[in-house]
Amino acid sequence: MNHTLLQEKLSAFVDGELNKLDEAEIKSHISNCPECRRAAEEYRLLRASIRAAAAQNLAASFASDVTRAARLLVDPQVMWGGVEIFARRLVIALMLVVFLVVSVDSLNSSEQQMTIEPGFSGVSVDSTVQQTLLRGEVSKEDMILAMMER
Amino acid sequence: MNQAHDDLQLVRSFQAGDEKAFETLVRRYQRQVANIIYLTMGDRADIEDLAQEAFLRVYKSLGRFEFDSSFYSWLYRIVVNLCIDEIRRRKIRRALSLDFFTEDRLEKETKSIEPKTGLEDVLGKEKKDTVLMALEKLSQEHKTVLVLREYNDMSYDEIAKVLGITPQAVKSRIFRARTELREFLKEYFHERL
Repeated sequence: MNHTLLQEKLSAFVDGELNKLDEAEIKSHISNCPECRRAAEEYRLLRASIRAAAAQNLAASFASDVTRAARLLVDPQVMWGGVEIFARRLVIALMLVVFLVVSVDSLNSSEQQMTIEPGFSGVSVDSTVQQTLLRGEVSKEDMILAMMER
Repeated sequence: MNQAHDDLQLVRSFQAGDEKAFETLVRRYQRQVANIIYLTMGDRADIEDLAQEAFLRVYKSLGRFEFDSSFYSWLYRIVVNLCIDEIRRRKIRRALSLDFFTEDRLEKETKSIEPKTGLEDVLGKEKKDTVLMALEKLSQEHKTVLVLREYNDMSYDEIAKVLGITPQAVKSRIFRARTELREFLKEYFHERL
C-alpha cells in the first residue's frame, strides 16, 4: 500500500477510528517502519501539547453573568416589561395633553364668539337667542338673518 | 447517568422554563468553549466576549433544540461558526483599516505570512506558545478540525456533524493538519522525542 495512505490510516489509528482489520494492518506496519512509529509518537505528543496549551478558563461568575445578560437581552418579559409600562403611561399622558389642548381650544372659540357679537350692536338681541349663540348651536350668519327678519 | 444524557435533561428543564438549567449548562461547558475560542482564534483578548456571544446564541436557540444530536456537538457547532464569523469580520476590518495601504502594514503582513519554523523561533518560546504559533499557521479548516479532535476529544462522526462534512473528510483534514504541524514543529518534536 502507498505509504501516504498508510500514514493517513496511522493518524486515524492514533484516534482509535480504525476497524479491526485496518488496525491489525497498521500495527503490523508500525512494527517494521521506524518512520511511522515516529509519526505515531509525534501525533501523541502533539495532542498532549495542544491540551497543555489550552489552559483558559473564565471567571467563576461567568455563568451567572451570562444567564442574567441572556435574560435581559432575549426574554421579552424582562426586556419589554419596563418599556411596556412606560409606553402605557406615555399613551395616557399624550391622551391627557390632547384632551386639554382640545378643551382650551373650544373654550377660546366660545370666548371669540362672545366678543365678536357686540360688534353687531345697536340692535339688542334677546337673551334666548344670545344663549343659543353662546352654546354655538346657531351660526352668526343665521343670527344676523334672524335679526334682520325681525 | 452520563453527561450527554444529563445535558439533554437540562435542556428539557430549560425548555420548561427553568433558567437555572441554562446556567448549569454554561458552567459545565464554559471552559471548553473558552479553549475552543482560544485555540481557534489564537489570542486571549476577546475570549470572554466571544464566549458570552456564543452562550447568548445558545440561549436564543435552545428553545428550538430538537434532541437530534448531543447538546455539546450542537454547542460546539455554534462556537465554531461564531469563530469563523469573527475571523471573517476581523479580516474585513483589517482590510478596511486606515493603514491598509501603508508600507508599514504591508511589511507586517509579509512578516506574518513568512513561515516561522527556524530553530531560533521555536526554541525562543515557551512550549505552549510554540504549539499555539504552529496552530496559528494552519488554515481555518485544518485548525478547527484538529482542535475539536485533540482538545475536545470528539470522534470523527461527531466532528463531521458539527462541521457538516463527511467523516472521511474529517479523517483527511486531520491527517493533513497533523502533517503540516509536524513540519512546523520539527525542532520541537526533535527535542522531546
